[in-house]
This record gives sequence, structure tokens and C-alpha cells, in this order.
Amino acid sequence: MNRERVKSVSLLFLVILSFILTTRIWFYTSIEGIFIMSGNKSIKTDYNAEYDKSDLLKPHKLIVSFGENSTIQYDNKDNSETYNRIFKEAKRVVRTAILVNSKESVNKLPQEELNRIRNTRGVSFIFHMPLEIGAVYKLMNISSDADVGIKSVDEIIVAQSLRRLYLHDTEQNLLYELRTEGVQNNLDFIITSLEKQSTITSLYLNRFQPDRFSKNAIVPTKIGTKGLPVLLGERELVVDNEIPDDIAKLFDGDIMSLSIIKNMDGTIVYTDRENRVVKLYTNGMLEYVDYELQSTDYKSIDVRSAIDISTEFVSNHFGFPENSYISDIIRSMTGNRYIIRYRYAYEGIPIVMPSGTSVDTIEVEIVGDQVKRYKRIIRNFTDELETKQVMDFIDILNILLDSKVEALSGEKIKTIKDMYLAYYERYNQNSITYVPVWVVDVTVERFEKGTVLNQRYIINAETGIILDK
Amino acid sequence: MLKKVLISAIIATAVFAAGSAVYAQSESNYARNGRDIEPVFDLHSDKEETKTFSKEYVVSGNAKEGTKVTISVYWFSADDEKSIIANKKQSENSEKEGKWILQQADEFTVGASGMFAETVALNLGKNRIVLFIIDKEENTGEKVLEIERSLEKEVREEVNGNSLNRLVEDMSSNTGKDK
Repeated sequence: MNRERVKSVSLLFLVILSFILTTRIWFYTSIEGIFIMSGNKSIKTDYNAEYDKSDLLKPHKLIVSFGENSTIQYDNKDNSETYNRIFKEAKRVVRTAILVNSKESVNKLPQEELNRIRNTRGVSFIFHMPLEIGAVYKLMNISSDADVGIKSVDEIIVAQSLRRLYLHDTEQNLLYELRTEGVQNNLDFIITSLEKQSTITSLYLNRFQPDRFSKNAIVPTKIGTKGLPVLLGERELVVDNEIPDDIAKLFDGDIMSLSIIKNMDGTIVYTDRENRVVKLYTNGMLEYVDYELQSTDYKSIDVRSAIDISTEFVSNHFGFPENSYISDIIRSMTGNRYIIRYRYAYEGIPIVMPSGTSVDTIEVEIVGDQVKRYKRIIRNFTDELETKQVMDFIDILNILLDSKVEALSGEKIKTIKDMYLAYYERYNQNSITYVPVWVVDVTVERFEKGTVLNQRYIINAETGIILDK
Repeated sequence: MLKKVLISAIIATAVFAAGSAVYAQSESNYARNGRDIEPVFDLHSDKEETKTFSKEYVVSGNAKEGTKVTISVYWFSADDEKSIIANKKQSENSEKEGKWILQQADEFTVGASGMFAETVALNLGKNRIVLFIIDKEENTGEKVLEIERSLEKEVREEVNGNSLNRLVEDMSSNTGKDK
């Protein structure tokens, strides 16, 4: 009798177990405690695991072209699944195409072909700043042997209908054409699915006025009727009497020898009284400096190592906020110093800081093979406040290019290099809010001296008032 | 009987002629007053006939600051169709058997950017977008765009033919059954 019961219970257990495991396989998830041990979670929760480097290649603008029409994709709640499917699939095609094409099979086209290529069905990644090809390879886990002659990339186009991949090299003013025939992918299906949905058309402004707009000035024709919310943020790090663990880690955990100084302006300075200093400013910005490292003492490093060092350092010290990506990589003339900047976005819209702030989000300066300086100013978003209607790009351009603005600013806008929506910080002692803005990167000519310089205009997207430049 | 047919044909022709009279002035974007031939505007999306699946169309272009742009959107309603939903067969009908109905009209002035971009909604079937433009010097220009919004299935049928479609559908349904 007992034996029968044991058999029945065992059988029931096995049936339940097989059911659970089958559903887990279907849903492609692991069961914590069986396949993975608890606590081994992503960087976003424990700030220690290594960040997926290929996610840092997320472009400044991801554009899906249906042929004549195209749309900018944002990684927000409603669209996250679609965005990530497009991003991952296109990235896989790019990686495979680079690996399977030899230097001999790659064609070089003049960049005048860009408009034609952009008009084909496919996916474009437009980066905030041209990236060294080594950086792209590193982030895609491609070995440096796969060199096809490209130097720096500011746009990657997976031209699905042509079965070609194009990398726009701004340093050489060339388009590198790679073949993608035989690279199995779902992009056709994804693009067609997206085409059937209601998407907002985007416009390449350089096609209207090639002399005024640069090729990356691409904007959505309208903003959803829902508008964008104002965000409420708080400082990432709030200091009390104890030394925060993450600051202690910047001194290798040795807090016994640390001195803490509070400046008149409220800045708290932690120092080991030898080489390393951490400053925590009242606006929440953190700055770490290792004064021992001098760039003249070190040999040059390559961009691949710089990305490794920088990404690991950020992962280990406070981590990456969600939706982070590399925005700029700047190499010194001597090649032994790199500055790598990261940005992050809320609902796919990048966060920008007032022009007086010395860093937009995260900045790492590398000398030799070590981090000399690390700056970060990150906010935790706690609430969405009232929703603001957003003006269309054309209304913003009409305001910016008006002769009144020209007379007041004493400068004439010569070219518009980029235009995009962003969240801009309004900081005061009591609250930190983020308002939706249009960012317009321009080159201007000063009336007095005739000098030409780069300028960034930040315009309130609801009112059209210029907030910052 | 013959009388009825003739009267219907005359009415249909008259309605069609009245509809097209709106656009009869000009199909170009050049000034009409004979003083110059400088373009009053430069239309970015200037294909005169287009087919699309999209519910919207962006009319965009360049014009001098202060230029007034009027965009009117008409939809072709076939006489034998009673609703927008049931207008699948429109493309098969001749224009003589229907009329153009105004759907949307917008007017705006071009600002300092010298650009305009207006999104207009398209109905299923034939849509006609009429742009009337007048600049500060009162030079005028006009352009008519005809855009047919179709369902994907209709276009597939047009490209591949009904029989081929049916064959493909049969094959795929048989494959589904086999599985």
C-alpha cells in the first residue's frame, strides 16, 4: 500500500517537474537556484557584474527605412521589444557581414551615394560622434584581424533590399560596401511588420536644404499627441556621516587612511592624502582623480583596451544606468590618453545637462592603462509629473532661425549639424526636474570677429524658449 | 433604359469635370503672372502619383519665408460604395462613377526655416492632395498629388495576380495541415 503511494507521489512529482521545465524552456528563462545561483543578477541591480558591451553600441538614432519613408525608433516602454529586436538583429547582420567579407570583396563608394542607399529598405545606426572602427569591432566582439580598411564610422546601414551593408567612414569620406547575401536574418519580416504599424515618419533635413543641414539632422515629423512628461529626479548618491561603499571602493576599500574635508561651497572631498581624490559636489556630481598618473609617462594604447578599461571601471564603480551607450570617444594626439563618454536615456530620449556642468552623464579619462579621471552625474528618476505637448521640429527651426534670435545672440547660424529631442535638467536645492527639449547642434558665425564655432542650443519643447546654449 | 444610362453618364461626367476643375489652373509650382519663372516653392515629396499602405502622407518642401500654403485633401468616393470601409473595389472603378470629397484643409505660413512639412491623413482608395501657394510678392503656384492608399493584400494581388495568390495560400494552408 505504502509502496503504491510512494510511486504515485513520485509520478506526480515527475509530471509537475517536467511541466515546469518544459514551460521554462519554452519561455527561455532560467530558474534561480536550479540553473543559476541567486544573487548573480545584472549590473543594473548590484552594480558589479560586467555590462554587456554590445549594448553600449546603441546608436544615437536608430532609423528604419521602408524605402521612400523612414521612421526613428525610440527604446521606450511601448516600443522596447520592437526596438531591441531591430537593434539585435541588425547588429548580428553587421557582425556576420564584417566577419565573412574579406578586404578584397569590399567595395568603396563615394559618400554622394548615401542618399540613394538611405532610400532602400533597411536599418541605419547613426552615432553621436564618429567611432574608431576598433571601438565598433570591440563592442561587437570582432577580432582586429577582420580589418577591411575602415577608419572611423559614423553611420552603419543594413540595406536589406540590396543585400548589402554600408559603413560610412567620415575620416575618408567613403562608404564601405559589404555583401550580406547568405546572412540569415529576420529583418525583412521585422521591417514589414513595423511598416504595417502606425509609425511617425522621419525627415532627412539635408534633402531640403543641403547647404544648411548636415546628414545627421534627421527628425520625426511630429511628436505623439500624448506629449512627454516632466520627470522628477533625485541624486544618485546622498551623503551622510558614513563613507559610502562605492566611494570606499575607489580607494580600494581602504577607508582607514581617508580624510574627509567639507568645503565652504558644500563639496565633500575624500582623499588618501597621497594621489587619489574624490569630490562629491552639491549637485550630486562625483569626480575621481588619480594625480599620480601623468600622460607623458605612458605609452600609447588602442581603443579596444581603452573601452575595456573604461567599461570595467564604470561597471565596478556605481555601474551603468539603464539605456546607457557610448556617445563619444576622444583620443589624444599622442595616443596615450582617451576620454570615453557615455550617455543614458529615459524612455529612449537622452538626458542632457546644462552647459555649465562639466559632464553630460559619465566620462572616463584613461592614461596608459589606468583611469586618471572619472566623472559622473546620474539621477534616479522617481516620478513622471505633468505631460507637456511638444512643438514640431519646424516650429523650433522657425524660432531658432528667426532674425530676432540672430540680432539678440550676435551670431548667425551657418549649419545645423544635428537636431533631437532630449530631457534637460532644471536643478535647484529643493528639486531636480527634467523638461523635454529640442537640442540643436549648430555652427555659428560671430558677427563681431567673424569666427565660426560650434554651439548647442537647448530649446524648451513646449514653449520654444531658448533655455541654454 | 438607354435614356437612364445616358443621363447617368452625363451626370457622372459633369461631377468629375467639376471636381477636376478645382485643379485645372496649374500642375506646376511656377509663378503664373508671367513676370518671372522663379519657383514659388519646391516640393520635396513631388511624385504626382504614388501608392502607399500608410495612413498618413507628409507633404514637405521649401518656400520663402512668409509664403502661405494651403493644403486640401480630397478623397474619391465611388458612387456604388456607401462607406469608406467598403471601398476596396475603388481602384477598379472609373473616376466617372464617383466624386471627390474634401477631407481636410489646412493653411499655414512658412517661417524663417524656409521649410514646410505637413502630415495629412489618407483614406483607403484614391486621395488627391492639392497645394496652393502664394508668396509675399503674390506669385502663386499649385501642385496636385494623387495618392492611392491600398491594403497590403490588394497590392499583393495586383503584383502577383489572384490565381498565383490563391495557389500560394493553398500551398501554405496544405503545408499547415500536413504539420
